[in-house]
Amino acid sequence: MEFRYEHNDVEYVVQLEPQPDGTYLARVGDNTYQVQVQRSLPGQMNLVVNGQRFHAYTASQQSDKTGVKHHHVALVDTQAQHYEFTTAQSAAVRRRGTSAEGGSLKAQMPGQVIQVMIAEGDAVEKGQPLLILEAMKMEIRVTAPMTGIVVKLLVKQGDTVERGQQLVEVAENI
Amino acid sequence: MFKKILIANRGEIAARIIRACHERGIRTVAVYSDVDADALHVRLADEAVLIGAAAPSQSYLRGETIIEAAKKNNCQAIHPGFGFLSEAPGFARAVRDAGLVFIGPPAEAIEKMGVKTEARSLMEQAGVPVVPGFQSSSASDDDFQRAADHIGYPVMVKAAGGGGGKGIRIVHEPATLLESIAAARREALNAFNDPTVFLEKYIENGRHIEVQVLADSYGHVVHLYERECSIQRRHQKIIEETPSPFLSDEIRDEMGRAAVNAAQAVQYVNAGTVEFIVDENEKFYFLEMNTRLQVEHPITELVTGIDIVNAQLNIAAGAELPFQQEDIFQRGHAIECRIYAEDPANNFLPAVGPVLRTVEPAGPGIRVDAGVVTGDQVTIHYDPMIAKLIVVAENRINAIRKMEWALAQYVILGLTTNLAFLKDVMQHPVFMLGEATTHFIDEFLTPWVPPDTEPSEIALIAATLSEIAQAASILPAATPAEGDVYSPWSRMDGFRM
Repeated sequence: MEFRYEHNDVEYVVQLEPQPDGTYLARVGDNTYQVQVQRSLPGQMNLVVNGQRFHAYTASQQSDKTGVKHHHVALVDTQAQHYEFTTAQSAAVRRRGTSAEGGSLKAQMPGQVIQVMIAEGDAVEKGQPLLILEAMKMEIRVTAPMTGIVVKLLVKQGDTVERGQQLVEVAENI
Repeated sequence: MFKKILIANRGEIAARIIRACHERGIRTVAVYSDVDADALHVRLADEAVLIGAAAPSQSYLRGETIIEAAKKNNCQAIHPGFGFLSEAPGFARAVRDAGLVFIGPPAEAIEKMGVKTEARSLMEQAGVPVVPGFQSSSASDDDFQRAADHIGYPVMVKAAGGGGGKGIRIVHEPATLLESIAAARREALNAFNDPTVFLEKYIENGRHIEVQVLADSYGHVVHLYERECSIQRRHQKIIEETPSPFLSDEIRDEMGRAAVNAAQAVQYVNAGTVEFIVDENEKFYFLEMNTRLQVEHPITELVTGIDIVNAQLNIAAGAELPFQQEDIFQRGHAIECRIYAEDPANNFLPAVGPVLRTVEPAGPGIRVDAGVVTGDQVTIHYDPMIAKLIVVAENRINAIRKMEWALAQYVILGLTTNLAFLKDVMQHPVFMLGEATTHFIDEFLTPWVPPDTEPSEIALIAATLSEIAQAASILPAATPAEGDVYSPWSRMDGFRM
């Protein structure tokens, strides 16, 4: 069995081979691990990996907006870290996601669009405020990354946005 | 004692107050906005009343609606918690006029402490040290210059009508004083329509230390010692501890007495906190009084053994304080970490999302005051503080160790939190030495980078095993009753209703 995950835009491949004795052989990159599942409850498992004990909590959820599955893992006791992986998307999907880079502005935080100061076709100067996002009593101004023209306005006042969602596209004057 | 009270708040503090009431056999009524219909405080309370839409101005700030709900549901008192209506004198007065008890100070005390310049002169009269300053509406440039020389540089030019950091200038040398005053006046005129400015000494490397007080309705006031709150980001506290690692016993007692004087000067009743700024030479100055319960009250509870919310209920019901100042002392060392739904690697900007799983640490000396648990949602509408982790141990170093351990045990899956950042603070040498000032995070932990940018391969393996386990459990979970391991129908040992 093969699983592909992404973490900070890097893809990781995990290969898992069930063994006759009920354990697994896991391969991540060049490393091989002998994995025994000592105890498994929904969202919680005790593992012995190459002789070392680990206690993991897991949860996963599919994003309504993007359809991407997010996997959350917390290792307690030994490593004390939380991780979030996403199921790796096909190359085509990823390309679509990044094609709008350059003058495109993404939401730095989740929130509500409380004010939109520009319209499509407007000429804007670098640093000019375009819209204001608000979440949890905090406001942030989204400003123009360069002098140019607003080619696309993807949100309107009152919209709720996710972190990373595209808000505006600005193209440089030619 | 009251039979039923309404809690005009949400989140962890509403849960804290509801539990304190239930301990005493007092029934509770929660209020909620439409997005909070399934929130923890609503689930905990005996009754709950919908008071409006998500925006606080449409719900948790609607004093009249809340008072109406209290009367309609036969409540005898209202606890405001902190934030929202807790420091609105108009609300405190309206509660009293409606024949109900406001669990907090009298409206008059809130009012006096609310106007900063009035509070400043009241404190001076009461012999409470205030930051050296100069104010006069008719002063000439020469007067300002002489005053600044007298106070000693650096000085702050502040707008009298001010707030929100507007109209403030820090002046390091006489040469720039007059132009700074002119600039501050322009800004103050624009922002507050009032160009009046005053001078105040700028306390460099200041520490934020506050003193908890309790006062009954018979003029008896005690203090419960200090809390050190210097670890802040965006002028918001994130870690508090008591005792302060900085104060000598002598100054600690002096600050306690000053806080009691401050409370007496405004005929204070119930729980309150007097905030001071303390300079490098242990000189302390009054900043303001928070006329309400404080977020960080649990650390004081853990070292003094006094349940402050319970004391609030007793005082509001007309009881006398059951102790004298000499009965109160600090035992051990307590630390609180505020758990925020935010991304410390991205300027501490708020994060939202479903809480897919929480596992709270437990053990001797560990307390969690949480506002969300597994299955709850953190939305964009309210404060990003979702829980408080509080520990107490025999001494400071053991408390730090315990906090590190407890942070490592705390599982919150589904949204980004500051857990890893808090752990970094605990392990920072400046914090461990007790030398952190209010600039600590800006100076030492900005920008912050998470400890490991590469994921643990063990965590990746755990993710795959969890996917396999989930896939395997889909068949037996075909009917809800069978899939629910907590359902009484899946118990093997028999049960009665």
